[in-house]
Amino acid sequence: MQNKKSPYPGLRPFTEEESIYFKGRDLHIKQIIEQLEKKKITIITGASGDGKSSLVYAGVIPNARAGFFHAEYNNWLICDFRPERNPLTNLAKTLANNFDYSENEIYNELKLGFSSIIKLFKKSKYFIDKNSENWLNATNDEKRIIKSKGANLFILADQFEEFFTNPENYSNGVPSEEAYVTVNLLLETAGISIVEDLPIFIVFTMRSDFISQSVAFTGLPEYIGYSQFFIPRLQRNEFQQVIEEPAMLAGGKISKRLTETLINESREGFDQLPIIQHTLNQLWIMAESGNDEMDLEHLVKLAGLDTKYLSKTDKQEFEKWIKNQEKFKQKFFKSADLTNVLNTHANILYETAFFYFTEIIEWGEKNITENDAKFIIKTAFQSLTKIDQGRAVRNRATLREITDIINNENISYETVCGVLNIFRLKNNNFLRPFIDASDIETQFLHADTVLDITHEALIRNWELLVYWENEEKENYNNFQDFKIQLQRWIDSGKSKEFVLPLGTLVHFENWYEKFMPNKYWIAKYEKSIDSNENLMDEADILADNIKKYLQISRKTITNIEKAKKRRRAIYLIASIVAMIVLGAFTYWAMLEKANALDQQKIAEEKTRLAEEQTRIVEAQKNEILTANEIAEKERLKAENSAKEALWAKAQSDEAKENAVFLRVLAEEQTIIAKNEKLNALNEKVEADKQRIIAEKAKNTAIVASDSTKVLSYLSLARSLALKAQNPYEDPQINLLLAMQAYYFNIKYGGFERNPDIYNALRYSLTANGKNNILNFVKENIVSFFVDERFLTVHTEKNELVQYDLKLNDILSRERLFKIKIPINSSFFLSDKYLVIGFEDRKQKLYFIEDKTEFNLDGHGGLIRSADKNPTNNEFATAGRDKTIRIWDIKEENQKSKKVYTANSRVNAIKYTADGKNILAACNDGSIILWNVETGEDKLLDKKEGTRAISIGENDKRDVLAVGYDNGNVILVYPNKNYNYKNYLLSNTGINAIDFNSSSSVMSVSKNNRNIDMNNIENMSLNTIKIFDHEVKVRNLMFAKNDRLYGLCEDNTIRFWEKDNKTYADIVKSILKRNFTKEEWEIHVGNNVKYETTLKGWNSK
Amino acid sequence: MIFDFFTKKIKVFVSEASDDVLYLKSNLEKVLESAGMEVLCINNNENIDENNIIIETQKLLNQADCSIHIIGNSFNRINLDNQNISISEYQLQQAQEKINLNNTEFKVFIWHPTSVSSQISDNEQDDFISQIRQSIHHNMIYSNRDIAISFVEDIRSVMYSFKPKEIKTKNSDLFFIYNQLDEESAKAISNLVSDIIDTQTLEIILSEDIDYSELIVQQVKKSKFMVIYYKNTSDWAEPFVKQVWKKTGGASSNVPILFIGDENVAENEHIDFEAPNVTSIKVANDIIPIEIKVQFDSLTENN
Repeated sequence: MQNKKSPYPGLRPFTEEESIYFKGRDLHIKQIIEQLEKKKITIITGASGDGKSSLVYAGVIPNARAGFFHAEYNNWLICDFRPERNPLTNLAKTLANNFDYSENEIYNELKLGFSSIIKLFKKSKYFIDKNSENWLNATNDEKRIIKSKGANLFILADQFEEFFTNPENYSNGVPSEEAYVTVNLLLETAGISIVEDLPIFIVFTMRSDFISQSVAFTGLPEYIGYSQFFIPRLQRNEFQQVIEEPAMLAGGKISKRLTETLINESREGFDQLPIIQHTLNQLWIMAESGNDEMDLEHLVKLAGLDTKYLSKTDKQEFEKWIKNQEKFKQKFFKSADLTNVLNTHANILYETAFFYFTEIIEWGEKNITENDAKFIIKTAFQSLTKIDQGRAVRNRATLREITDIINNENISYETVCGVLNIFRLKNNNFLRPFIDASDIETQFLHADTVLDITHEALIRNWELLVYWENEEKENYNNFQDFKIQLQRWIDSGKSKEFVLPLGTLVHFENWYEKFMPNKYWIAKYEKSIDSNENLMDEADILADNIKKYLQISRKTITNIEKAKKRRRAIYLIASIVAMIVLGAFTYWAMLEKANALDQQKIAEEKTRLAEEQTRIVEAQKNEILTANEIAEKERLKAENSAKEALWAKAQSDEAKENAVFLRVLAEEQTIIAKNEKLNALNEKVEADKQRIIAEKAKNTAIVASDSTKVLSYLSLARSLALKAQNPYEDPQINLLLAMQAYYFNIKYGGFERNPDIYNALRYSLTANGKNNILNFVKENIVSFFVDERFLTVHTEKNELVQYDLKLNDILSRERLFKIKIPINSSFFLSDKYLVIGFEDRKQKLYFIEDKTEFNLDGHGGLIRSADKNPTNNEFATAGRDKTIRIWDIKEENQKSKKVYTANSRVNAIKYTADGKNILAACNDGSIILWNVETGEDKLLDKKEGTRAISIGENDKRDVLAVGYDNGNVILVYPNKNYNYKNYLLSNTGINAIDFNSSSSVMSVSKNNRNIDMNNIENMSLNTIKIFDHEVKVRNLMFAKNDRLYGLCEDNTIRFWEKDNKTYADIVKSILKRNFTKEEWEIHVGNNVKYETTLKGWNSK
Repeated sequence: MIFDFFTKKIKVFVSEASDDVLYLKSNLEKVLESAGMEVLCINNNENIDENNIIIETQKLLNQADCSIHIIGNSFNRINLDNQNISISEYQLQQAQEKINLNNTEFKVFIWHPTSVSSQISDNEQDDFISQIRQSIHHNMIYSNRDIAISFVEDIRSVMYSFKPKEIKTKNSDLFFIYNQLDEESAKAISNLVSDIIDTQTLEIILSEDIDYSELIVQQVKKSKFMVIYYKNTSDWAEPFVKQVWKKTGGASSNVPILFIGDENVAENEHIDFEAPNVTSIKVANDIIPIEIKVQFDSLTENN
């Protein structure tokens, strides 16, 4: 059996040698050649993975050499180069390979720009001057001989986008001098060739997403307009040729059913061709190097297709086969689809690299472990990619640079080379330069050899690399954030006022400790066109500054903390003094009270004496009145008997005189008694006055006594609340403590939203098994939506799971549609519509009731936010491509109807109540108000050096809140001419914001994992801080019943009640008993009268 | 470039569909008409009986250039043409038979959108689909496109393949090609060879505005043997033979290639092309006509 050469190149482009197998693009080759014949220059553009390089190397150039290109001469000088980091040097190198001059001579000539290449060509033996006498006097046969010596010049600048992606060539929108000269030379050469009709042809291949940056080079946009060829998408029949015909040409076979499966299973857009080429290459190898017919069974063995598509016999055979595979391989077959072929292949290399290095390669020191080998692979691939505008792209790096970033003295660059070699083998071809089996020298790389990932499709489709890249992205973002803070500190003359705040410091300390960025890694992101040989020294200084800044920040914070502690101690002493003063006042008030009581007693005694006097006087008066009556009777008797006895008259007159005397005496006594009574009344009035004063003093004393008591009880309530958050053997104690705290707090007029009591009630419920964690799906939750009864989550497997909050059970679970690309984000516009964003930067709108999905075609980046217009059937999305796009909610694929482009990526958006405006939170710290109808925009605010990352709004949409990554929250009032107020709520970022139904409470989720529930009327008062969870809350939402739900990073959904009363009612419902007296004394204290918590409290 | 789908109307037979995909069928019919195709399908008459289905299916398939079979989620077995099968299955069988029996360019498109395939609950239908996917062969196209327009675009790309302009060519036993720069020696060889073998000669003149690529492809179809000769044009000859091999069918071509050069020219020393259906040799210029005759005779004898 003969090993046939694979006609499929895998991830790398077709070479000129392989042009015989390059199929499916015949029409496009013809069109490009026709364009070149006419215009002398063609700029071939297309998406990544569209096969631009293959089209030139395996299409245009071989056809030109074969004579299917109408040019002047038979011979072709093909000068091809990639800009890489030194475009002019590379251009000089390729020209030197074709002309009889040294690279140095050509480089010096080229530096002059403009017509230098034309001059070089005209000086060469390949140029035939048709105005020369030699030509003009020649016979036809002689002319033919002369012509056979001439040659056409074909210059190819492949991967032209490297003029923009390499910081040495282009940074901050400005090209380097070398890049500028190179482009000038190429364009000028094309221009002169057109004017003079010279046999010179220029071709660029460039990724279309870099076209907008071409304005950096004078004349380039004009040439793009003049000669661009945008690679068309392959039609079905062309795609079929790509799959079938190379096999046929090479004498192999492919079954029709496999062709159809490959066409149907390959996703469109990004990476379609590289993935299919890689799969075909692996299929060819799997089918005994083309000796067997390639069929479905081979695709299944590559983990590219589910076994259900196999016949029974093939399935049985596969099951036998898989049993014989290594265990680590078997798991890759669980999610078989076409993109998984590449993923599985890369994973197998990752798992076997150590074995290959230690057992197969016969050179190099084998002093590393398998984990070391895996670490080398991970760091190498992270070094060979970089974050550019938020996405991972290829980053060429030398073996030395990779070894430096690994930064382990036991790992030499030879070891790194040995471990990576498996990725460079023929049939793997994941890393350049490839190993040529016939040339053993290609196994060894020099330290300065540049390595490169063969195709970006690997970056997007190898799951492990995607994971590493996310890690790299996080490190990069942290580094960039840190650099801003560091620069401020340096600019301030390293002032202590510019050290990191505590939360930020802890964050960066953790990052530093975990990642330990070294100067080599820093240099990777510090390269620019200004970079020079001092780059490494500068990176070293930066690395040192990072370390120092952290140390100084830590020291300063420690000092501040100490000062704070001292201040706290002073406050404590002051509080104690205040308590003593208060105690003294209470004591004085009690003395005053006692004095007043004494005074009152004296006054009462005096009143009693005065009344006694009054009674005596009254009695004497009565006696006098009685004496008067007797005297009168005697007088009447004397008058009646006057006639009878004169003798008796004298006696009678005497008696009369006596009676008068007694009468006068009695009257005197009456006056005295009256005066006595008056005095007594006066004394009583005085006594009353004294009594009132005493009462007042008594009341004051009572009030003073009550204030002390209230403070004592509120303090006790807080103490009980804190106690309630400790674990007890009998968890009923937690409930009793929390409830008693709540009871005291309400009874003594404490704030209803007391945060300590809130947390005590919450904790006591958790201690009694009433946790607030919903954990009903295993898959990662992408987004969620909640109403009063149902909670719906959207998972990474593209399932909607509806959870019944009343029954505490899953109500339904359904897969929306099959996905091949991982989901990046999703957003519920309401309970009816879901916007889903995929990792390949595409989006769909899903109708939940109709179960239909439609493509949204527009965004060039991942989406970060979506919102529905409250007044009509529109919705908006926004994201990393800096745009906000407006769409209709309609059942068809659509392009965005309106687009707004911001200056930086848009992190969050919300419509205002009138549906006319969209408020956008942007990554450069700006808040933009975009009028959707008129297209006008307004910058509401911009906080330099921060990122606006979240927006929440209340149900009426008359208050919007924007959260920043530095903990600021701005409340915006659309109905008040968009006035806004700023609040600093945290020293970490505000991840999410929402309002409750009555807009009285605003809740924010913070990056330090806490959640705050703020009273919107008074932001500084009564903030409930929830910290009963150890994970960050990615998103939060109030349900209609005002229960707050949070989607947590550990894939759970947690919920919290809106206030203390709701929690108290729940606690009461599960409280089974009261404190015993003993428990009361232990937990509440002897000084407080024992009472029964359960019976004694009515929460209403 | 002008596509003939603006001028040529093809006839498309659209099969019956189960109730769950009727909406797809009705939408597809409209899209096909909008794309300039003529739709043929059995009228939706509730009273139509099994016998009429058979008659109508065969009648319409005979008129059609291709057929579309929409696969739904349920099997709906009935008694048809003495078989206990579904209408979809029956119509697909008939269409496949048309491919096999007549060996025509008739194409069968099977449409099973992803949105439908993700909801299958009928085991019989699942087996039916699995069986279809197993038995796809030439002229059958299986599509899981979700969007009808996209599916119809695929039909267009298959049914209206780009037809190049026809170039005048002649039947011949031998097709002899050389570069203008080798004109003198090549003419001497072709003169000798054409005396004994029926020969068509092509001189490649680079500056001429001729589509050599298409000319060669069309002439090869009328030839039995192709010779590519070179003497002083080694830089041209190797890329040329490779492109010709590729364009004319490579290993699957019926016309073998003799790639022959003058061994006395030093530049020719490294010129070679090894591939199925290609004989690559260098001999003295004088022997080349004899070598051509020997190779041609060998081919004739083997056939």
